[in-house]
Amino acid sequence: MRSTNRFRMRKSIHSESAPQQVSLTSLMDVITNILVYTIKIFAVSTITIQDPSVFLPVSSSRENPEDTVVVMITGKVRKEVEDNKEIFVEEMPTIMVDDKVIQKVDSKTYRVPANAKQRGYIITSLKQELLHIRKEQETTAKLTDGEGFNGRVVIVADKNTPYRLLADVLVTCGEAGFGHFKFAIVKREA
Amino acid sequence: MRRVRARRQSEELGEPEILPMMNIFFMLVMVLMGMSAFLPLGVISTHAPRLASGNSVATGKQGPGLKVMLLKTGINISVKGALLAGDSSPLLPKISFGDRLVYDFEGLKEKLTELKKQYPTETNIMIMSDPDVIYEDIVHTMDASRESVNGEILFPDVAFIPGVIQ
Repeated sequence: MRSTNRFRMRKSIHSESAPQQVSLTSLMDVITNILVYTIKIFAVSTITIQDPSVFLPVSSSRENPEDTVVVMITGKVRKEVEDNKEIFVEEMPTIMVDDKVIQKVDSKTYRVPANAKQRGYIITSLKQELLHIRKEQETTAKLTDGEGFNGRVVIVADKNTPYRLLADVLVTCGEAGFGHFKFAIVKREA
Repeated sequence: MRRVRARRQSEELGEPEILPMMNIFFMLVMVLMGMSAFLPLGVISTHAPRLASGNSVATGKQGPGLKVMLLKTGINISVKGALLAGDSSPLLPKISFGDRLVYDFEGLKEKLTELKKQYPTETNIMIMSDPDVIYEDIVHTMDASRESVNGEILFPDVAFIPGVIQ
Protein backbone atom coordinates (compact mmCIF):
# COMPACT_ATOMS: atom_id res chain seq x y z
CA MET A 1 0.00 0.00 0.00
CA ARG A 2 2.81 2.33 1.00
CA SER A 3 4.75 1.52 -2.13
CA THR A 4 1.70 2.20 -4.30
CA ASN A 5 1.31 5.63 -2.70
CA ARG A 6 4.99 6.37 -3.23
CA PHE A 7 4.65 5.32 -6.87
CA ARG A 8 1.64 7.59 -7.34
CA MET A 9 3.46 10.53 -5.71
CA ARG A 10 6.52 10.00 -7.91
CA LYS A 11 4.28 9.77 -10.97
CA SER A 12 2.46 12.97 -10.07
CA ILE A 13 5.76 14.82 -9.51
CA HIS A 14 7.05 13.64 -12.90
CA SER A 15 3.85 14.56 -14.69
CA GLU A 16 3.94 18.10 -13.18
CA SER A 17 7.60 18.70 -13.86
CA ALA A 18 7.54 17.35 -17.42
CA PRO A 19 5.82 20.35 -19.11
CA GLN A 20 8.26 22.75 -17.44
CA GLN A 21 11.13 21.45 -19.56
CA VAL A 22 10.79 23.86 -22.47
CA SER A 23 13.11 23.35 -25.40
CA LEU A 24 15.07 26.57 -25.86
CA THR A 25 16.92 25.43 -28.95
CA SER A 26 14.33 26.63 -31.46
CA LEU A 27 13.99 29.96 -29.65
CA MET A 28 17.75 30.25 -29.71
CA ASP A 29 17.70 29.71 -33.48
CA VAL A 30 15.12 32.47 -33.91
CA ILE A 31 17.13 34.93 -31.82
CA THR A 32 20.35 34.04 -33.66
CA ASN A 33 18.64 34.71 -36.99
CA ILE A 34 17.32 38.06 -35.76
CA LEU A 35 20.81 38.94 -34.51
CA VAL A 36 22.44 38.11 -37.85
CA TYR A 37 19.77 40.09 -39.73
CA THR A 38 20.20 43.10 -37.41
CA ILE A 39 23.98 43.03 -37.75
CA LYS A 40 23.61 42.89 -41.55
CA ILE A 41 21.32 45.93 -41.59
CA PHE A 42 23.67 47.72 -39.22
CA ALA A 43 26.63 46.95 -41.49
CA VAL A 44 24.84 48.20 -44.62
CA SER A 45 23.73 51.57 -43.24
CA THR A 46 26.90 53.53 -42.62
CA ILE A 47 25.09 56.59 -41.35
CA THR A 48 22.80 56.56 -38.37
CA ILE A 49 20.53 59.41 -37.40
CA GLN A 50 19.57 59.48 -33.77
CA ASP A 51 18.71 63.14 -33.40
CA PRO A 52 14.92 63.38 -32.89
CA SER A 53 14.76 66.80 -34.56
CA VAL A 54 16.02 65.54 -37.94
CA PHE A 55 13.33 64.44 -40.39
CA LEU A 56 14.83 63.48 -43.73
CA PRO A 57 13.04 64.08 -47.04
CA VAL A 58 11.89 61.10 -49.11
CA SER A 59 13.58 60.60 -52.48
CA SER A 60 13.55 58.21 -55.44
CA SER A 61 17.36 57.87 -55.31
CA ARG A 62 18.61 54.27 -54.90
CA GLU A 63 22.20 55.17 -54.03
CA ASN A 64 23.51 53.75 -50.76
CA PRO A 65 25.27 55.93 -48.20
CA GLU A 66 28.99 55.60 -47.65
CA ASP A 67 31.20 56.01 -44.65
CA THR A 68 32.54 59.55 -44.79
CA VAL A 69 32.39 62.90 -42.99
CA VAL A 70 28.85 63.78 -41.90
CA VAL A 71 27.71 67.39 -41.63
CA MET A 72 24.33 67.54 -39.93
CA ILE A 73 21.83 70.39 -39.73
CA THR A 74 19.27 69.67 -37.04
CA GLY A 75 15.70 70.93 -37.10
CA LYS A 76 13.99 73.44 -34.84
CA VAL A 77 11.31 71.04 -33.59
CA ARG A 78 11.90 67.84 -31.67
CA LYS A 79 9.21 65.16 -31.50
CA GLU A 80 8.61 63.54 -28.13
CA VAL A 81 6.02 61.10 -26.87
CA GLU A 82 4.38 61.77 -23.51
CA ASP A 83 1.41 59.77 -22.19
CA ASN A 84 0.93 58.21 -25.66
CA LYS A 85 0.66 61.68 -27.18
CA GLU A 86 3.11 63.20 -29.62
CA ILE A 87 4.34 66.61 -28.56
CA PHE A 88 6.67 68.95 -30.40
CA VAL A 89 9.32 70.76 -28.43
CA GLU A 90 11.10 73.76 -29.95
CA GLU A 91 14.87 73.79 -29.92
CA MET A 92 17.75 75.64 -31.50
CA PRO A 93 18.96 74.25 -34.86
CA THR A 94 22.63 73.33 -34.84
CA ILE A 95 25.32 72.45 -37.33
CA MET A 96 27.21 69.33 -36.30
CA VAL A 97 30.18 67.49 -37.76
CA ASP A 98 30.34 63.79 -36.87
CA ASP A 99 28.07 64.33 -33.82
CA LYS A 100 30.14 67.28 -32.55
CA VAL A 101 28.22 70.55 -32.18
CA ILE A 102 29.95 73.22 -34.26
CA GLN A 103 27.55 76.14 -34.56
CA LYS A 104 24.15 77.12 -33.17
CA VAL A 105 21.72 78.78 -35.57
CA ASP A 106 18.92 81.26 -34.89
CA SER A 107 15.73 79.20 -34.63
CA LYS A 108 13.46 81.83 -36.20
CA THR A 109 15.52 83.03 -39.14
CA TYR A 110 17.87 80.05 -39.64
CA ARG A 111 20.74 82.53 -39.86
CA VAL A 112 24.24 81.99 -38.54
CA PRO A 113 25.36 85.04 -36.51
CA ALA A 114 27.24 87.51 -38.72
CA ASN A 115 30.29 87.46 -36.43
CA ALA A 116 30.60 83.68 -36.99
CA LYS A 117 30.85 84.08 -40.77
CA GLN A 118 33.41 85.21 -43.31
CA ARG A 119 32.66 86.77 -46.70
CA GLY A 120 28.92 86.43 -46.18
CA TYR A 121 28.68 82.65 -46.59
CA ILE A 122 31.58 80.83 -44.94
CA ILE A 123 30.90 79.57 -41.42
CA THR A 124 34.27 79.96 -39.69
CA SER A 125 33.95 77.21 -37.07
CA LEU A 126 32.67 74.70 -39.64
CA LYS A 127 35.49 75.48 -42.04
CA GLN A 128 38.09 75.04 -39.29
CA GLU A 129 36.63 71.67 -38.27
CA LEU A 130 36.48 70.43 -41.87
CA LEU A 131 40.05 71.55 -42.54
CA HIS A 132 41.12 69.67 -39.40
CA ILE A 133 39.34 66.51 -40.65
CA ARG A 134 40.89 66.93 -44.08
CA LYS A 135 44.37 67.16 -42.53
CA GLU A 136 43.68 64.03 -40.46
CA GLN A 137 42.45 62.11 -43.54
CA GLU A 138 45.54 63.11 -45.51
CA THR A 139 47.88 62.11 -42.66
CA THR A 140 46.12 58.75 -42.19
CA ALA A 141 46.31 58.07 -45.93
CA LYS A 142 50.06 58.77 -45.92
CA LEU A 143 50.67 56.43 -42.99
CA THR A 144 48.46 53.59 -44.18
CA ASP A 145 48.87 53.85 -47.97
CA GLY A 146 45.10 54.04 -48.04
CA GLU A 147 42.78 56.20 -50.08
CA GLY A 148 43.70 59.84 -49.64
CA PHE A 149 41.40 62.80 -49.19
CA ASN A 150 38.42 62.36 -51.55
CA GLY A 151 36.44 65.52 -50.82
CA ARG A 152 33.21 63.64 -50.09
CA VAL A 153 30.81 64.86 -47.45
CA VAL A 154 27.38 63.58 -46.44
CA ILE A 155 24.92 66.39 -45.70
CA VAL A 156 22.23 65.27 -43.27
CA ALA A 157 19.68 68.06 -43.01
CA ASP A 158 16.19 68.33 -41.61
CA LYS A 159 13.66 68.55 -44.45
CA ASN A 160 12.52 72.03 -43.38
CA THR A 161 15.99 73.57 -43.51
CA PRO A 162 15.87 76.64 -45.76
CA TYR A 163 18.26 76.95 -48.66
CA ARG A 164 19.73 80.04 -46.96
CA LEU A 165 21.45 77.88 -44.33
CA LEU A 166 22.08 74.98 -46.69
CA ALA A 167 23.91 77.30 -49.11
CA ASP A 168 26.14 78.57 -46.27
CA VAL A 169 27.02 75.00 -45.32
CA LEU A 170 27.67 73.98 -48.94
CA VAL A 171 29.87 77.00 -49.64
CA THR A 172 31.83 76.32 -46.45
CA CYS A 173 32.26 72.63 -47.37
CA GLY A 174 33.45 73.62 -50.83
CA GLU A 175 35.85 76.16 -49.34
CA ALA A 176 37.38 73.42 -47.16
CA GLY A 177 37.79 71.18 -50.22
CA PHE A 178 34.71 68.99 -49.69
CA GLY A 179 33.09 69.50 -53.09
CA HIS A 180 31.31 66.15 -53.53
CA PHE A 181 28.03 66.53 -51.68
CA LYS A 182 25.92 63.54 -50.78
CA PHE A 183 22.51 64.52 -49.47
CA ALA A 184 21.05 62.02 -47.04
CA ILE A 185 17.48 60.98 -47.82
CA VAL A 186 14.99 58.27 -46.97
CA LYS A 187 14.53 55.94 -49.93
CA ARG A 188 11.02 55.83 -51.33
CA GLU A 189 9.69 52.30 -51.31
CA ALA A 190 9.44 50.90 -54.83
CA MET B 1 21.71 2.98 -7.02
CA ARG B 2 25.19 4.35 -7.79
CA ARG B 3 24.78 3.41 -11.43
CA VAL B 4 21.47 5.28 -11.63
CA ARG B 5 23.01 8.37 -10.02
CA ALA B 6 25.99 8.28 -12.40
CA ARG B 7 23.67 7.97 -15.39
CA ARG B 8 21.64 10.93 -14.15
CA GLN B 9 24.79 13.03 -13.73
CA SER B 10 25.95 12.22 -17.26
CA GLU B 11 22.52 13.14 -18.61
CA GLU B 12 22.61 16.46 -16.77
CA LEU B 13 26.08 17.28 -18.14
CA GLY B 14 24.88 16.48 -21.66
CA GLU B 15 22.47 19.42 -21.83
CA PRO B 16 24.28 22.72 -22.47
CA GLU B 17 23.19 25.76 -20.51
CA ILE B 18 21.98 28.03 -23.32
CA LEU B 19 19.85 30.40 -21.28
CA PRO B 20 22.68 32.88 -20.41
CA MET B 21 23.87 32.81 -24.02
CA MET B 22 20.34 33.54 -25.14
CA ASN B 23 20.18 36.45 -22.74
CA ILE B 24 23.35 37.88 -24.27
CA PHE B 25 22.02 37.42 -27.81
CA PHE B 26 18.74 39.04 -26.85
CA MET B 27 20.54 42.02 -25.32
CA LEU B 28 22.71 42.33 -28.45
CA VAL B 29 19.60 42.40 -30.64
CA MET B 30 18.09 45.09 -28.42
CA VAL B 31 21.28 47.20 -28.46
CA LEU B 32 21.66 46.95 -32.24
CA MET B 33 18.00 47.78 -32.80
CA GLY B 34 18.36 50.80 -30.56
CA MET B 35 21.47 51.98 -32.37
CA SER B 36 20.16 51.70 -35.89
CA ALA B 37 17.26 53.64 -37.29
CA PHE B 38 15.19 51.23 -39.35
CA LEU B 39 14.78 53.63 -42.21
CA PRO B 40 16.06 52.79 -45.67
CA LEU B 41 18.61 55.59 -45.79
CA GLY B 42 20.21 56.64 -49.05
CA VAL B 43 22.03 59.56 -50.59
CA ILE B 44 21.83 61.79 -53.66
CA SER B 45 25.22 62.58 -55.13
CA THR B 46 25.80 66.09 -56.38
CA HIS B 47 28.78 68.31 -56.73
CA ALA B 48 29.75 71.94 -56.75
CA PRO B 49 29.81 73.24 -60.35
CA ARG B 50 32.98 72.47 -62.26
CA LEU B 51 34.42 74.18 -65.30
CA ALA B 52 33.37 71.30 -67.56
CA SER B 53 29.82 71.17 -66.21
CA GLY B 54 26.99 72.53 -68.35
CA ASN B 55 29.03 74.21 -71.04
CA SER B 56 31.49 71.49 -71.90
CA VAL B 57 34.63 73.59 -71.93
CA ALA B 58 36.88 70.54 -71.64
CA THR B 59 35.57 69.01 -74.88
CA GLY B 60 35.12 72.30 -76.65
CA LYS B 61 31.43 71.48 -77.29
CA GLN B 62 28.75 73.95 -76.32
CA GLY B 63 26.17 72.31 -74.03
CA PRO B 64 22.71 73.67 -73.29
CA GLY B 65 23.76 74.77 -69.77
CA LEU B 66 20.44 73.74 -68.27
CA LYS B 67 19.46 75.48 -65.06
CA VAL B 68 16.43 74.90 -62.86
CA MET B 69 15.60 77.84 -60.61
CA LEU B 70 13.35 77.42 -57.62
CA LEU B 71 11.64 80.71 -56.94
CA LYS B 72 9.20 81.57 -54.16
CA THR B 73 6.36 81.57 -56.67
CA GLY B 74 7.31 78.60 -58.85
CA ILE B 75 9.96 77.02 -61.05
CA ASN B 76 11.91 78.53 -63.91
CA ILE B 77 14.16 76.80 -66.43
CA SER B 78 16.93 78.40 -68.42
CA VAL B 79 18.65 76.98 -71.50
CA LYS B 80 21.85 78.55 -72.84
CA GLY B 81 21.33 81.44 -70.43
CA ALA B 82 17.83 82.27 -71.70
CA LEU B 83 14.74 81.75 -69.56
CA LEU B 84 12.14 79.47 -71.16
CA ALA B 85 9.33 81.61 -69.74
CA GLY B 86 10.69 84.65 -71.60
CA ASP B 87 10.69 86.87 -68.50
CA SER B 88 11.38 86.41 -64.77
CA SER B 89 7.86 85.11 -64.04
CA PRO B 90 7.85 81.38 -63.24
CA LEU B 91 7.45 78.92 -66.10
CA LEU B 92 5.71 76.51 -63.71
CA PRO B 93 3.80 78.47 -61.05
CA LYS B 94 2.97 76.80 -57.74
CA ILE B 95 -0.20 74.71 -57.78
CA SER B 96 -2.75 74.33 -55.01
CA PHE B 97 -2.67 71.08 -53.07
CA GLY B 98 -5.35 71.05 -50.41
CA ASP B 99 -5.05 74.32 -48.52
CA ARG B 100 -1.49 75.11 -49.56
CA LEU B 101 0.55 75.89 -52.65
CA VAL B 102 3.18 73.41 -53.79
CA TYR B 103 5.73 73.23 -56.59
CA ASP B 104 4.62 71.51 -59.79
CA PHE B 105 7.22 68.74 -59.92
CA GLU B 106 5.20 66.67 -62.40
CA GLY B 107 5.15 69.67 -64.76
CA LEU B 108 8.91 70.04 -64.28
CA LYS B 109 9.41 66.39 -65.23
CA GLU B 110 7.39 66.91 -68.41
CA LYS B 111 9.37 70.04 -69.39
CA LEU B 112 12.66 68.29 -68.75
CA THR B 113 11.51 65.25 -70.76
CA GLU B 114 10.89 67.60 -73.71
CA LEU B 115 14.34 69.14 -73.23
CA LYS B 116 15.92 65.69 -73.09
CA LYS B 117 14.48 64.97 -76.56
CA GLN B 118 16.22 68.14 -77.81
CA TYR B 119 19.52 67.35 -76.07
CA PRO B 120 19.65 63.54 -75.81
CA THR B 121 23.37 63.36 -74.95
CA GLU B 122 23.28 66.01 -72.23
CA THR B 123 23.41 64.70 -68.65
CA ASN B 124 24.24 67.83 -66.64
CA ILE B 125 21.81 70.15 -64.95
CA MET B 126 22.26 72.88 -62.35
CA ILE B 127 19.91 73.82 -59.57
CA MET B 128 19.62 77.28 -58.03
CA SER B 129 17.20 78.35 -55.37
CA ASP B 130 15.58 81.17 -53.47
CA PRO B 131 16.92 81.39 -49.86
CA ASP B 132 13.54 80.53 -48.33
CA VAL B 133 12.96 77.32 -50.29
CA ILE B 134 13.16 74.30 -48.01
CA TYR B 135 15.50 71.34 -48.41
CA GLU B 136 12.63 68.90 -49.09
CA ASP B 137 11.60 70.87 -52.22
CA ILE B 138 15.21 70.94 -53.41
CA VAL B 139 15.43 67.13 -53.05
CA HIS B 140 12.20 66.73 -55.05
CA THR B 141 13.60 69.01 -57.76
CA MET B 142 16.71 66.83 -57.96
CA ASP B 143 14.46 63.75 -58.23
CA ALA B 144 12.44 65.36 -61.04
CA SER B 145 15.65 66.25 -62.88
CA ARG B 146 16.98 62.71 -62.78
CA GLU B 147 13.99 60.64 -63.90
CA SER B 148 10.95 61.15 -66.12
CA VAL B 149 7.41 60.00 -65.26
CA ASN B 150 8.07 56.81 -67.26
CA GLY B 151 11.32 56.14 -65.43
CA GLU B 152 13.59 57.31 -68.29
CA ILE B 153 16.92 58.82 -67.30
CA LEU B 154 16.88 62.58 -67.88
CA PHE B 155 19.76 64.61 -66.43
CA PRO B 156 21.37 62.50 -63.71
CA ASP B 157 24.44 64.72 -63.11
CA VAL B 158 22.88 67.31 -60.87
CA ALA B 159 25.16 70.15 -59.86
CA PHE B 160 24.02 72.09 -56.89
CA ILE B 161 24.98 75.73 -57.17
CA PRO B 162 26.01 76.98 -53.75
CA GLY B 163 24.55 80.41 -54.20
CA VAL B 164 21.12 81.94 -53.82
CA ILE B 165 18.78 83.76 -56.19
CA GLN B 166 18.52 87.25 -54.75
